[in-house]
Amino acid sequence: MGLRLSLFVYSAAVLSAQVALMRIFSVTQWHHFSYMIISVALLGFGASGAFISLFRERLLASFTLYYRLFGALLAITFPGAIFLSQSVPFEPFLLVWDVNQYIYLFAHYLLLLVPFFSGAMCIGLLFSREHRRIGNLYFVNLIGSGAGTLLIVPLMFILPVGQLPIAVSALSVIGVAATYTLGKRKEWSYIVIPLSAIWIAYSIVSPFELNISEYKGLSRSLDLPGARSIYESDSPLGRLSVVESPVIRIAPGLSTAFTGAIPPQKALHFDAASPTAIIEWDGISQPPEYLDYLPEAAPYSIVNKPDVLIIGLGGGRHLLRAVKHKSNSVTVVERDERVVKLIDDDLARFTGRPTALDAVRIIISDGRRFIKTDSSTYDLIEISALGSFAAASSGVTALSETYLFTVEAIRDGLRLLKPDGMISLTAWLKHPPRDNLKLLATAAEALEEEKRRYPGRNIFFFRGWGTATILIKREEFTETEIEKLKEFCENLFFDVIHYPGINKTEVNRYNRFSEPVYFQAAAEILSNARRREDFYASYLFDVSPAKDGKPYFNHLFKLTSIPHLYRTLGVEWIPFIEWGYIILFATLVQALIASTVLILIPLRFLKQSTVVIRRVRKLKIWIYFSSIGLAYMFVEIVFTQKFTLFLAEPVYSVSVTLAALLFWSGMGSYFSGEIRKRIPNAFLIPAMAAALIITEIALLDHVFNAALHLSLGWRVIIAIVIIAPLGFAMGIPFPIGLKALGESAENYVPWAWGINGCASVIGAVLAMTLSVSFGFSAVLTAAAGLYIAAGLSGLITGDKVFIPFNDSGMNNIRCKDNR
Amino acid sequence: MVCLRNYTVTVVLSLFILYGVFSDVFSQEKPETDPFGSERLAMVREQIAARGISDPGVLASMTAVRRHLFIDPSKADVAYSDRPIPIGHGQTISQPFIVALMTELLSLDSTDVVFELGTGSGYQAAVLSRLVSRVFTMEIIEPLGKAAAERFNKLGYKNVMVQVGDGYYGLPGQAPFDAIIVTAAASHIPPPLINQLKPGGKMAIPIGSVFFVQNLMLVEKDSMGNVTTENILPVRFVPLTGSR
Repeated sequence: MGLRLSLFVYSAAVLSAQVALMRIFSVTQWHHFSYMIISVALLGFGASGAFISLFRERLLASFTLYYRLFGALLAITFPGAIFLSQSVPFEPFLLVWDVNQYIYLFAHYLLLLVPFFSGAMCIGLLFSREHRRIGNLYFVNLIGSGAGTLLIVPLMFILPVGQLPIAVSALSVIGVAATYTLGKRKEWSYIVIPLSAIWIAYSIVSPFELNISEYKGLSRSLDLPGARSIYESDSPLGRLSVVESPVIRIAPGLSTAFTGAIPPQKALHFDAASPTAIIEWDGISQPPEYLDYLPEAAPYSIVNKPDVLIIGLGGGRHLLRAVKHKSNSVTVVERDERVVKLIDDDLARFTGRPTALDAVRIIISDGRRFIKTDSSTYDLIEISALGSFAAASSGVTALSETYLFTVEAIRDGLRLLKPDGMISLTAWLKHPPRDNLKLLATAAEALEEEKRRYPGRNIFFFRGWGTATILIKREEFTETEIEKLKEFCENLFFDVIHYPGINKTEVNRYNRFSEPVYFQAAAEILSNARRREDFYASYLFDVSPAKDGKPYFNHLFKLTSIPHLYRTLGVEWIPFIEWGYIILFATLVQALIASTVLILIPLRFLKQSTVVIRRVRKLKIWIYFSSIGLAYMFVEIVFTQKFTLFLAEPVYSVSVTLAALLFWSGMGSYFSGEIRKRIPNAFLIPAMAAALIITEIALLDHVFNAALHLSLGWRVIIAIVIIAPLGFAMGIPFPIGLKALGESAENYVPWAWGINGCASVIGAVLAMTLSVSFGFSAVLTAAAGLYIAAGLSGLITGDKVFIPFNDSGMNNIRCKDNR
Repeated sequence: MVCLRNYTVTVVLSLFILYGVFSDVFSQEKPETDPFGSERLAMVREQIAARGISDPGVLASMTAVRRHLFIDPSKADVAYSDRPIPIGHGQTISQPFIVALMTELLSLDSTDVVFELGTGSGYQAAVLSRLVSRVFTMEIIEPLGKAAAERFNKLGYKNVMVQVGDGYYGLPGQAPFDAIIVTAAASHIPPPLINQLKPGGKMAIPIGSVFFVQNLMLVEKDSMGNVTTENILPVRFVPLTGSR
């Protein structure tokens, strides 16, 4: 019992540690750098496999001691590693120029490798020793991991981010304590008492002060004169901070025609990134004048007392403008309840509580889910794509999935419009043009799918010096509307890019480029489908529309453009790369190298060991365990992203999907022995997982569409049910493989465990890379193919019936006793 | 032809170096040994002139101003590299080419009065000071502003006036300015600065993150007070559809 309980708790601690680390790095750095560091930390699993392979006999001879010791190391080193890593001055953006940054990065790797290696050692040691009960133990391992996911998310509501490592440490201490049944009480006290003392010491110094990069928006706001932090709140949705300073003034894309003053503002930061403005208003007088000098104000020149839908409250800029124009009704959809509470309650005196006005309706929900399920109609739907400019320009958000800027989302939005209504989308300008062209292409394809033969007639597109706005109407723009919008642009020195009947002489007048590049690109995109496809293919950036099956609006970089960029620009091409994408590739390369080393090292030494398997059998082991490792991660990563649309929030999607997948896989593992007996043809076991993946590809979108309107509780239940059969099937191949291997070549068990660990790391990164390029369905199909490959791996030597690694005639296994 | 061009560039730049050294002796910076003279010459030749900066005044100023004195001495060995250098508080000293391009875009005259928003280390102001009559520069982050003021004092820059404070409102007492340079990132062009720009004046603003300037915006105010902006790409990024 103690063994299973400790395994359960260790597994929960390791998974909680991963989630906690992601949250910590999302605050201190950009979250994609956290993937890089976490993936290396996860290589601790691969390293543990190698380590156990090499020292198996010695480790198993004193199993209890080492099982406890590594548990204690996890408890001590996880908070320690986080604490020490905060003093390593790693700055990812400087990697291009500063060699010292590689040393700092390596220091991060080493620090974080230790706790994950320790946690993986506990699990790996137990699997090695108890391989005959592997189905049962793997079940406990997966259930524990699932519980860890479910435990850490609620903890994020209660604890500051800097205290999460202590919570993980506490779990590990419990894991160590649970081992007391394995040895004498006296031994137990030697480890648990000092361990508890260390944990108490950690608790006293926690929460650790997180060292936020000086280049993040929050650090810069706090450096302003008179700046002070007046609000900070952590939750699984992210860290929300508010800074006040008399010199905060944020007005994205403000017209140069504006000569007035911007009212006092406070800076609202999400995960310490660049801020949005909370604007001062007395709640009575006219909202600030400058709001009408922003490009987003354009629709109000043609709509009168409209019914407005605003996706994202932010600091309240869109809401104040809607109030200023005496909108008939304003519906604001905000995903984070804390933001509403800030505007409506905590900062009520400052904001004037526009959220409390009679005409205003606040809805806490995901924007995409709302526009997909709402049945009201609106004159204006405002969606802002203005995130952090620094983040957008450096491409660190390239791999974030967003379901608001897809063809399907625009179609959903068009469905909610009154006949004369319009959608307004505003995004930062980047040079050469990228994001805005992608938005235009998305709008054009959505209109075409809504049977508008000439989408250009439903679009008005203009830009200022820093932002561009696309207005998309359900019906064609009338001449009167066009004249009013042109007048708006002219008064505010904004340049028209496209409207029905535009003349080339009207473009590129106030904010000039050497060539009218936006006009030229828009003409290509809005001409016809064939020219548009040619343009996508030949353009240096990926401006093809994002879709629900590939929802990466911020991903614009084309790998195929690198040679051209390098040839024409040399090192000057660096500003045009997307850091998120490049870091992902770097992570993949380093994971491949590290995995190869970790897999090859034990092989070299295992030759001298007691049982040697012929090369062909090693290949079988490698194919089998790497295929199921890769396939499992492909499904896991795609599901966590795909279910974001259904569960409406990434953090819920990650926790529910992971927990469900792990739980059902645990059940599959638990019954694996029984299933193995009933299905003699072992090929069918991984093939069953493959068949279920293909079924899910066909069914998922239909289920999402049918059930998206249901409450979160129902959607969670549906998610768990959908995942059940596949999760169950995916939980079987690993334990039956490991068990069969243990019966025939026991000393190869840790090696197989290491291969599976390494494949999981590579699988996680590879799944992201492939999703960005080919979409979710392609990655899931690849996962099905990998399960088939795992099934076929037993047929390499021509076995008619595949019995993984358990040839009765031992014709492939040569025993050699070196003793 | 290429050799002749390289030869000409080398001769011209050598003259600039001599000019820089002698102007140091007779005017501003105190004469002292210059361990980075050859690096600075290479920087101007390879990073600036080679990328199309041709204004002799700008090249001379970039040749004369000792960039290594505007950063932490521990980073002096990379002072003339083609890269931005961190100066603390989330700020950087821009890559030399960007400094030169911003300066050239302003089409400065020796009688001009320039306002700079965001002093940083003071390097940009130092480059400007050799081309114009007076430079007023404001830095919002106190430690940076004070360090820059001390540096100018020590190096003998008499025509650079540093103020620590909020530069958003410019300096109404010294306005109007012939040129304005905004080196601090902003979500918008401060309206008070547009007001303080002389008719016919120019304002340069880099757009992008502190490490990677993606483009420069040149704001021009005509004699009627109308404002236009021009986007200048700092790289030769002409092809719209390049991989066809």
